[in-house]
Amino acid sequence: MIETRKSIPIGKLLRAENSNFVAGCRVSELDTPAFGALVKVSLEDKSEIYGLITNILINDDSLVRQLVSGVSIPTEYVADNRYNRNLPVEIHVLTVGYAQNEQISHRLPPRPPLSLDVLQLCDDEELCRFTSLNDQAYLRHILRLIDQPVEELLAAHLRQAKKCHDARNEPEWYQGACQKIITLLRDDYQRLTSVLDVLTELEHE
Amino acid sequence: MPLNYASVDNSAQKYAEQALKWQAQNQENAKQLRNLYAEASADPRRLRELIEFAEQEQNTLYAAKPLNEDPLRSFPITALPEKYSLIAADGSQIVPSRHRSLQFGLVNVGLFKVCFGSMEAPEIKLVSTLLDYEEIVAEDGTLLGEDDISLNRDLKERSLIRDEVNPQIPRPVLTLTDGPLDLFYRSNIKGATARKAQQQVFDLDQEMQKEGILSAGYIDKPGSALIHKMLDEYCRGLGLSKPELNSKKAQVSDRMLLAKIIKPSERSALFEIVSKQAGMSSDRLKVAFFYLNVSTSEEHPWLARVEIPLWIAESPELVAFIHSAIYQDAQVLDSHPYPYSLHRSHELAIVKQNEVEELENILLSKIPPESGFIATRSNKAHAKELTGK
Repeated sequence: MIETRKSIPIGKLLRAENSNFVAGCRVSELDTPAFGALVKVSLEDKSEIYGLITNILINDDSLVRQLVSGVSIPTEYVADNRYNRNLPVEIHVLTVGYAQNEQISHRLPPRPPLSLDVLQLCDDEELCRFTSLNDQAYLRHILRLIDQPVEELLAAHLRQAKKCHDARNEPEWYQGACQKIITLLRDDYQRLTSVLDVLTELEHE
Repeated sequence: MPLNYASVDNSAQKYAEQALKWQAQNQENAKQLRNLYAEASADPRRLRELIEFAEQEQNTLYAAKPLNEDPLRSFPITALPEKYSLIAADGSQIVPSRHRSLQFGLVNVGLFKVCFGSMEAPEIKLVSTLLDYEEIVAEDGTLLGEDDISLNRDLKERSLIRDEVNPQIPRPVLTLTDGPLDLFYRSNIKGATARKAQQQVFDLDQEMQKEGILSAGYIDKPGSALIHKMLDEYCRGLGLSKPELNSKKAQVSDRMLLAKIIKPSERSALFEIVSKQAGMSSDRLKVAFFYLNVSTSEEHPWLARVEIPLWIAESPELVAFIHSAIYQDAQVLDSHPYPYSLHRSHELAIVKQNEVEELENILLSKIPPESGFIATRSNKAHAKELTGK
């Protein structure tokens, strides 16, 4: 298992398949996970499955739906629904790789994580390590997504990863990632254009 | 097999016609009674005296008695204090069944405590009490039924809600339960059990009165006809003939009678519940009530009955506070107004069928296999399980 000092538990697995999984957490725990963040699940066999947060879903139920249409809800009751009621926030994760015997792979894992496994947020060190390897091959998983805001996910992820690599004096990492994306999208001009738009925006931040 | 819909369908039309006729009759009856109510209310003192006379004269009576407010008036809500506490409790239960492998009973009480003005999430608590074997078996050795376990639940709700009050929470403190405060309505529980329960409720209320803790019972869509009964006694007392209603079975509910009198958000005048039955404890909680229109629409009034201890009814400020606090809480679910705090307590307390099964499995697992304990379901329960019913 790869030791990280700052892995933060952010939820527990609700359901999973090889290519993606969904974790649940309470609203009170929601300040940590962010769209595009690198997360991992440690399995019993000491392997780890890595993923990117592709969506954070706030669930409702019939009571919340009725409250929404209400004229006024006391602050205390808003807090009741957010923090007391058993409505997990769903964190959707795209699997982008795994680690076995301390070797990171950007392929899909042999098997998905299990329900109630703990989802952890990777720290900066682990983010740099995971994204540096294998010629950033994990980016192909993002570009394969259908019916999802791929450009936005790329922007969110690259922004976080770029910040970490820049802090380590590795500006070439971002150039490499852009090159990889261009290569992967070379046959999809329309998508490449919109991705490049986002990347340009990112560079001007 | 599901229902025989063809057979039901044949009767459905007839049923609809009967329901319409019944409602029309009720409305006509209510109209008549409204006139009588206006007449009787013209002299509230005389009305009160007539009910007091009936109370002395009769062995059994369950009727309304006006207090010091004009019964024809309704009262608007007032401003609530910036800070106050509301504690609600609601319970559910598992009634022991001889068809199960084990006979067990459980009372599950959900508690919801909110301190308004604190901006903090309410405290929620669930208290699950597995009843002792002695508590589920009657003196004659039979298993206790739904009413007895419900009584146990009601008493637990009230004692647990009391335990939630501490000096740290802002005053005033209102405790709220679902259903009547008076235990008379459980008419099939009589004798020593009823007296003991009433004594407990009385003692608890005495404690709360000393500490200034308010309590109220909320009855949604009440069906009682306390005012109709009051008007019957009015007629009897004055030697008047009762209004001729359309059916001997006719009983005009207070809700129907007062629906057009109380405007949205307003409450009715206060009444005392005269609840007299042979063998009742003399130390009984004396209960007053008012009707509260929790609707926001003039066209669609929705009356709930709010019961409060009589000592609270003697303070206009406390009544005004309870009126406003409950109305405000019901408005949170404004499309179907009902106190949010009670809904949440109920949501916490509800016991699902799969949880009953799970609990039974836990209990079974505690019995050593070598103990020779015989734990088998009835064949009927087994057969029902086969068909999933």
